[in-house]
Amino acid sequence: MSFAIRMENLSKEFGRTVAVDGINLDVAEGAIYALVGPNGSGKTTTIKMLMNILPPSSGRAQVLGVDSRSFCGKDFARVGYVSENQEMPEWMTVGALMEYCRGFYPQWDAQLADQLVRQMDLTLDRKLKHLSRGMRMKAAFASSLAYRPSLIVLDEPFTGLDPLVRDELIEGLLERAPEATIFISSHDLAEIESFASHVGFLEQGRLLFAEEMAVLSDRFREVTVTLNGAAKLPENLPAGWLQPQAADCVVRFVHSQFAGQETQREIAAVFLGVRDVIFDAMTLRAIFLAVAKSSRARRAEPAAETNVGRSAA
Amino acid sequence: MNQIVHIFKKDARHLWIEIAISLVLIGCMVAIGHVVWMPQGSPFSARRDSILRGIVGLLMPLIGISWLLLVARAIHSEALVGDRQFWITRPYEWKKLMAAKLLFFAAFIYLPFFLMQVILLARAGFSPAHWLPALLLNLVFLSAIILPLAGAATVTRNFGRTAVLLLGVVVCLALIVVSSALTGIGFELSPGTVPTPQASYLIDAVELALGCAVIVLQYRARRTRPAWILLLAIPAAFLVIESIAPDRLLIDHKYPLTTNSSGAPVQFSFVDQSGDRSLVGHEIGGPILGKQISVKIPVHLSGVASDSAVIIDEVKVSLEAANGEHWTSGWQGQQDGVHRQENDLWTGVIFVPSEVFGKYEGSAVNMRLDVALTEVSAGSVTQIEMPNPLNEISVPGFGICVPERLEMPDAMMLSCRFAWQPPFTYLSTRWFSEPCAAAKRSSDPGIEGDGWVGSVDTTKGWAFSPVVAPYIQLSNSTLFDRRSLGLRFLCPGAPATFTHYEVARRVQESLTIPSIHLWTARAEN
Repeated sequence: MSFAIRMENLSKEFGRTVAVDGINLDVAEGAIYALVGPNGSGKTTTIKMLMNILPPSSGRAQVLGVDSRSFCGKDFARVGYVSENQEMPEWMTVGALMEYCRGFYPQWDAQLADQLVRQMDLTLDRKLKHLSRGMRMKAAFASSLAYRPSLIVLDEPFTGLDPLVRDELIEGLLERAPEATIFISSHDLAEIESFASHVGFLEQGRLLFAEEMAVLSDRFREVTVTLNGAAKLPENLPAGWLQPQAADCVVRFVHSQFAGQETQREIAAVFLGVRDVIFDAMTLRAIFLAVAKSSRARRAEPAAETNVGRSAA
Repeated sequence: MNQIVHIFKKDARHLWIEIAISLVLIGCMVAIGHVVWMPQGSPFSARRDSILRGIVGLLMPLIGISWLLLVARAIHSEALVGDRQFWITRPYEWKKLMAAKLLFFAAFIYLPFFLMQVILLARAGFSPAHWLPALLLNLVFLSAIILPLAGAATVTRNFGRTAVLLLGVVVCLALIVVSSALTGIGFELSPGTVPTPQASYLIDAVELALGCAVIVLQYRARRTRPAWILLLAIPAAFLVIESIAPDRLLIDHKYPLTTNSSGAPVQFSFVDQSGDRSLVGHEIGGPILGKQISVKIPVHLSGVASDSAVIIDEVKVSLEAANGEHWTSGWQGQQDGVHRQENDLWTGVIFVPSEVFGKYEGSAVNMRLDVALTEVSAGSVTQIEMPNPLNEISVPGFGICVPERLEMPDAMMLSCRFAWQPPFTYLSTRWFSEPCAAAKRSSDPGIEGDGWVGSVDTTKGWAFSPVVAPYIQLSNSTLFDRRSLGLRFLCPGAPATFTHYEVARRVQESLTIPSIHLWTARAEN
């Protein structure tokens, strides 16, 4: 299998702050890879290292077979990069932007450029500075897709956009999907879920998991266990059970290693008097929230224990 | 190449207003720059010309600001500071981007400036082809200004920040130089406008080299922090070079000691004007200024050859008291004229720190003056007859001269213009005591008036205008009689002689003044 992006122990530190902490991640060619994670988890920093905007502190990355540290000039002719906070040449009209970009890409497809402009309802003679945020993002998309890049890198492209614009952008993006690898960071999990083939979850600069979307959906289940008597959470629950809660005779948790019958047997072994067990499939958003919250809770626990220890002393 | 032109065209389209402003200002300079050397005609045109001269004076800083605007805006079109710029994830090649910016400077700064200078030279009556090497060299000196400005733009995000950076550097330099002069630490407090070619060329070279380094570093790797350090090294190097004063360090090498007194171009002897072998010093400065005592030393010069002249460049003073106490100053520049045979008195001016002067004050000291001097010898001589007013005459090897009418009827002055700088020339002519018509009738023999034009200093530097018209001061231009002070007259047909002088040698001589008393002048109530 060939990869569009490879990261090996990729790390970035800003002074004492570790923004990205030893990421190992491969993005196969043709994949639509979504990098998700809460604010400050290191998504943008990771993308900036891939695009050689920032140098890694340690580790390495390869983008389209080129070391990210030497990724420059002509290499960008194969990459379409759009970021939510990219500074555009505001004085240009949309038409001038398209025309200017055309000069940099020998493979520029004028027909596709026209099609993108029409599809995204862009007005060629409007200056970028006079456009709304959504329209500016559409112009950035059009100018980044018209040369048929083999890798499309998108950093929070849908943030702050209305559903209609998001839909238009995704539509334009998916049309390019058969001929490109897409690497996208986003908060918009509902949208991501609709088209991403792979997902990686970043938390505090660390990659908590990275896998195919289908495998992820199969792996996570919201579990509701109804017991015969009053529910009480045992001391040592399996590590893959996230956010366990007990109320009356019901126990709820998220199972992160769901495996059908085997999971049922596991539950039966933990709880006595199981009356009923329901497994609900989870959305990407629900999985994201469950993983993020339990990760935060785990981080808070040692601190709380330390505080308790101090009080006792 | 395509990418270079592509980016260049984009910048030209984007910055057309800035380009237009700069070109209009250059155009104005081309249109009215000649008033600086144009001879004055009627009083009406004199008033108009003085207004135009004021405008030309304004144009120079305005053009400078317009260049700064062009440089900064062109570079900030693809800003090198930050990580959100549109262009950094596009297939720009750094060499081509940098080349595009340099092409932009060449097209909209260097070329218009070069053409302006060519036109100004031609309008002044000089052949641009003859002066082509000087014109091209001037562009190199221009780079010593443009490249550091471009360097400043590459480490900032926008024009405002570039302007603040440059203003900050200028203010810091000014503060350092002023505080250094006030405290006497760092820079030597010495008068004089002695040429310092080594320092001047060294500063230009440092500006060029570091300016280039900053630009290449930023375009190649966008390493802003090291680029800042390199950029700030430019003013730091300026301060270091100025404080080290390499020219003064080289004086002993540049001005070798004369081997024997008979071979010396001039002999010095102290003139005891007070009659009691004393010299009175005057305190300058104040509590902050690091007090100095300025002492004037009258010296008689003799032995200057008839076809030579002597220029006193620098002086070093040594004081030795009877108790053996000894002090020697550094080299101090002298603002002194040119001494020919007939001009035989030189007043040396030396500065001694107040606390040092105090140690020697009142008692007899031995003073030694080491004098670094330049001997110049006469070369080609050109003689002309003074033309009619406003009739130009080209003096070979000198410049273009024109007798200029003053507001007073029949009064004229000689005005000359030169390409880049006047050659070092001794000029003599004849003044008449009466207006020209009357002088002709009365067969007035007149009186000689003479003066020096130009300098032996051939240090080259950047010049905004390739044509200069320095004021030519001739002696005896005024007439004293019992009742009033009046002007003498320069008349058509009067002979004028231009003698070109060249540096023959530079030597060091000394003068010892034994048993002299030093005093400080006291302020009278």
